[in-house]
Amino acid sequence: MGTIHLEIKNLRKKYGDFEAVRGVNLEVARGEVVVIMGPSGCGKSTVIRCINRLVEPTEGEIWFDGLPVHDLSQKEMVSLRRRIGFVFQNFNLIHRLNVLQNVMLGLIYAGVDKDQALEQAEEALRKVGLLQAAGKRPSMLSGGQQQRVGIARALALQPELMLWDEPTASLDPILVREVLDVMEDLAQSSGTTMVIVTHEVPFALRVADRIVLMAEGQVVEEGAPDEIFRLPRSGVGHKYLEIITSQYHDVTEMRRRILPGHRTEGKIIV
Amino acid sequence: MATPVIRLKNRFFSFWRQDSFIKDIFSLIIITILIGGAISFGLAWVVDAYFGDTVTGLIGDVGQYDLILHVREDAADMAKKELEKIIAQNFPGAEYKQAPTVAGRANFLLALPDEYKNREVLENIDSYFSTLPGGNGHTFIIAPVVTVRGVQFGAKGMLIKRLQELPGVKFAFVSGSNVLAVLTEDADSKAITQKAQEILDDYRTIEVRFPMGYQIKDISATGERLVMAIQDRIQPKLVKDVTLSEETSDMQAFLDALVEMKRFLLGYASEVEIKLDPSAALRVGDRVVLQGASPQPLVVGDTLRPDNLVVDIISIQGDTAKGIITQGDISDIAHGQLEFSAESGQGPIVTKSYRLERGTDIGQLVGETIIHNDRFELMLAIDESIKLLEELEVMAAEADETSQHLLATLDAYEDTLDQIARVEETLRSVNQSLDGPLTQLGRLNIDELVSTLKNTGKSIDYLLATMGLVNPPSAGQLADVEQSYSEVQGRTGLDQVLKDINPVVQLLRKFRERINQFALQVDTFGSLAENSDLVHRLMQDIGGATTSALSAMEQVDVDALRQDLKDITARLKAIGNLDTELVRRQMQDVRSTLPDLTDEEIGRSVRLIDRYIGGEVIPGERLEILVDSGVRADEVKPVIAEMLGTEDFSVLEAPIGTLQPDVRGILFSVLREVRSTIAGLTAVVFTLIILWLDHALIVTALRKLIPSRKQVAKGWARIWQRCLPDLAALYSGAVGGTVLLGSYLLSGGAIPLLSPVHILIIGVLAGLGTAALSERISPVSEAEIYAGLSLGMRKTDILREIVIPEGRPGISNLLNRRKLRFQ
Ligand SMILES: Nc1ncnc2c1ncn2[C@@H]1O[C@H](COP(=O)(O)OP(=O)(O)O)[C@@H](O)[C@H]1O
Ligand SMILES: [Mg+2]
Repeated sequence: MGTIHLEIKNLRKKYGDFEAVRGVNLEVARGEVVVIMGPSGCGKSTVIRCINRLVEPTEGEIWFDGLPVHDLSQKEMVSLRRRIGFVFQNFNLIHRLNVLQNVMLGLIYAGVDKDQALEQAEEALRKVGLLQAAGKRPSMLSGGQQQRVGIARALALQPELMLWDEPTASLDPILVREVLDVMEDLAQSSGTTMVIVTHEVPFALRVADRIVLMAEGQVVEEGAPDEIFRLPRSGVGHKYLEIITSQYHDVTEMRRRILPGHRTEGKIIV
Repeated sequence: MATPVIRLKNRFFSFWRQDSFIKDIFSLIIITILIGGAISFGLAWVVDAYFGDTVTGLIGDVGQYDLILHVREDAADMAKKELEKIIAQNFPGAEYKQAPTVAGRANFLLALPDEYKNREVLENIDSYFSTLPGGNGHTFIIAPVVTVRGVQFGAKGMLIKRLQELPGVKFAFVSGSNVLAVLTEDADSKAITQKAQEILDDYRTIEVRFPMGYQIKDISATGERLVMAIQDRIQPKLVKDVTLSEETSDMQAFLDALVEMKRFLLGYASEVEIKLDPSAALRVGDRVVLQGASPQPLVVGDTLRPDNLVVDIISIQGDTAKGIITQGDISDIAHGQLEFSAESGQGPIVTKSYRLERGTDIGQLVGETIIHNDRFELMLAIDESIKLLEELEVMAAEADETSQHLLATLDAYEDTLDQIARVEETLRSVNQSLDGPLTQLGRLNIDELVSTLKNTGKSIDYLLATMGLVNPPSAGQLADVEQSYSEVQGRTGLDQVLKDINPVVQLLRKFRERINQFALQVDTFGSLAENSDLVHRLMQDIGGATTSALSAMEQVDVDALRQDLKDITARLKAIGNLDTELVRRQMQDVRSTLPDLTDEEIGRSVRLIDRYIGGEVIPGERLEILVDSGVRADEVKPVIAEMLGTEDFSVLEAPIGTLQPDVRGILFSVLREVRSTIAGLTAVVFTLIILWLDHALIVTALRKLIPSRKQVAKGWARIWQRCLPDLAALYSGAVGGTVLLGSYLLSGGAIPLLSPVHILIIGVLAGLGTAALSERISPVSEAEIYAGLSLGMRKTDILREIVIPEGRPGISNLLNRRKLRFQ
């Protein structure tokens, strides 16, 4: 792969006495798409939020494009964050503002002049297919549309790094598709470096250059998608994989296809 | 180089510096304080204006009404009717108005006409309205007035007297423990208040308190002794026992009345004075027997008879004992063995008295007894005076007549004198002509002499006739009257005039006889014409008589007598002008008011009073003495200690009363207080609202925006770090304190009992409370904050663009409008 775009070294995060992240190391190359998977509560969100310091790390280093993120002042963080797009599980749209304003928000506060901002915002909305909803309030939109606005908002700043924290986890299954389509499109065409937290196995298989499996605050498995699904070694990771793959009705066929040599009949008991 | 503290401080300030939201906060707080002050002040002002009107509506304008009569609500209608009746009967022209009912009490405002605004009426106002159904007392709102509160009972009279002496004070009166000085409309009440204060400053009360359980048996007597001791030792301008408070004062007044009654009775009782024999060991309270009306002389060993006189000994001084008759009456003695008669009031009675033993036995002789009775003497004097008065009028008229006659007499006297002078002259010329043989001229002269003598005779007759009218016995009587009144009028005179004239009159009578003789002989003159010897003898005879009469008459100074008579006449006229009838009636009144009591009755009453007074002493544990302000408590202390033989008491000084602004003044000061209290409370409420509307949101947002530290600090910094996580709470407390104190002070707020420091503390506590509850009062969408952060927005921008616009519509929201990029 290319040069290292993002490097996480021995990241630790304590919430009070509870250590949610226990020494995570991760390197992401420029243009690489890394999918982080793992059971709920294993620390995925914490890790991804530490990257742009929405959560302050307790220990460890984060290097982005050669910058010591962990050491930047609040002021420096402000401009750094403009280079890093973040898509939230719960969309985190500003209710007071309409769709276009939500998308323009970052641009305006980044000092982009109004016309330019408008142009960029419309471009972003066009990318997610929601230009026609520009004047609507977020509350008027479906969950999938809201998340697409969230994506457009992150895109509008033309980030070098996109961080996705379970962007589809809050959506009705029927709405997941439209979001995943946008994401897949972005991942494959933009060349932007991406760190994606998701449980979407097929999506991960299709999009990920690398899958990082986390459990109990640590990275337990890391590798190409095929490897990961073929050879689960960690106990926790194994169980998690069993569960996420069991969600699909054509599970046996899918397993045969993506996980050769792994023959399991019937249901897996959680 | 930087210490952890400074580092943290720097961090804190850099946080605020980079987020210019701090400026927003500052302007927000300043504007909030201004608005809070204005609102608090404004609301208080509105309330004040409203209450001010209400008060005016409630009790009228200053001076419009004089008192409020309180009546039970349910009796209000009946009371109204009765009130109208009372007004018509006692205060015609008075106006009343029913004021609002407060707490079950109906109130009637009463304005009295000026003629009823005086001490007598106002002090007895309750008695006028005693028939008011449901009556529940009254409150004076008379104005302008200076009120002295809590006036020492014993100082009231003196205080009233002194207040009334102040110019501008119409009158002063007592209402409860207050003394109210009613001022004239145009009086300078401030100056009078100050003068009143000066009066109060002239006096003080000294209170002597004894420890619990210590009781003075007879507080009144002890107080009296203390007053005497202070008088003796310190010699203050004023010292007075005022121990007995109002509650006990009725009793004291009754006791005083009894004492007075006793004194009065004793004044009319027969005064018995016994010159004690040296052997008689008589003591106060012993009883002695006098013979009294009994015909039997007293004999040692006999038993007491009902018609004997019994005397109680009330005092003994040296060898003289005094007593009062408790059996029998002084008048009884008149029928006894003594020459004394009560009716005639002839001097004191002297008799012997014997000790009365075992209540009935006549014991040892104790001494000679003298009995006076002022009552009889006075009665007698009055009777005499009345009798005299009745005669006086008649006598005055008679005397006037007499003096008129005397004046006429004096005129006649002078005429006679002239006539006699002429006789003498004629005689002289006759004698000259008689030197030779009786000539024609001589005859003529004799003729003239005869006619002159005849005229003189007539003059004398007239003089004597007028003299006869003078009526000497009546003049004597008049002299008596004059004597009686000489003490009043200062001079005597009429009798003097008569005395002067009478001897001359005797002489004149003789002269008249001579004239008669002479005239008789001259009638026969013709036949005697040649007898010049006879003529000579006759001439000599009449000449001698004339000279002596003339010289006697000339000795009387008629002019002086006339002047005297004129004076006397004037004085008699004055007596005649006296309204003797009135004087007589008054004297009769005096006589009829003299107690128609026998000595026995008087004596028994006195004994009864004594017994009562003796038993009714008021015990107490404190003494109160009114003194002038020159007397200090520490001066008095040793005097008391010496007197009571104990040091176990405390001495306190107190003013005799304190000035109080008039009712109106109080009301308005209460209103002022209400006003500032309302302002203060409004500031508090305002602060709470502001904290709730504006700052709870900011606190919540700050909590989410203040970055948590990566590393755990060590040492002192750790403590700071412990505190800093709640910087938001510190902020909230600071805002609460600042806003509350600021708007409180700005609004002129003043909540009773709370100082600005208290207010600051309340503000800080309210702020901290808000911080504690901020999450619940004003939740902030964490998601949106993260969204903002993730988009590279500054915290300031997040607050302005996301947090505050979504918060409640407070002042911050309003101010933030202009900062919004997305309207
Ligand atoms: N703000 C927080 N305070 C305390 N504990 C937290 C907080 N955020 C996450 N955690 C805990 O940290 C652990 C990791 O959480 P998270 O990173 O959200 O897990 P994931 O995203 O993998 O589900 C969980 O046990 C979670 O309960
Ligand atoms: Mg998560």
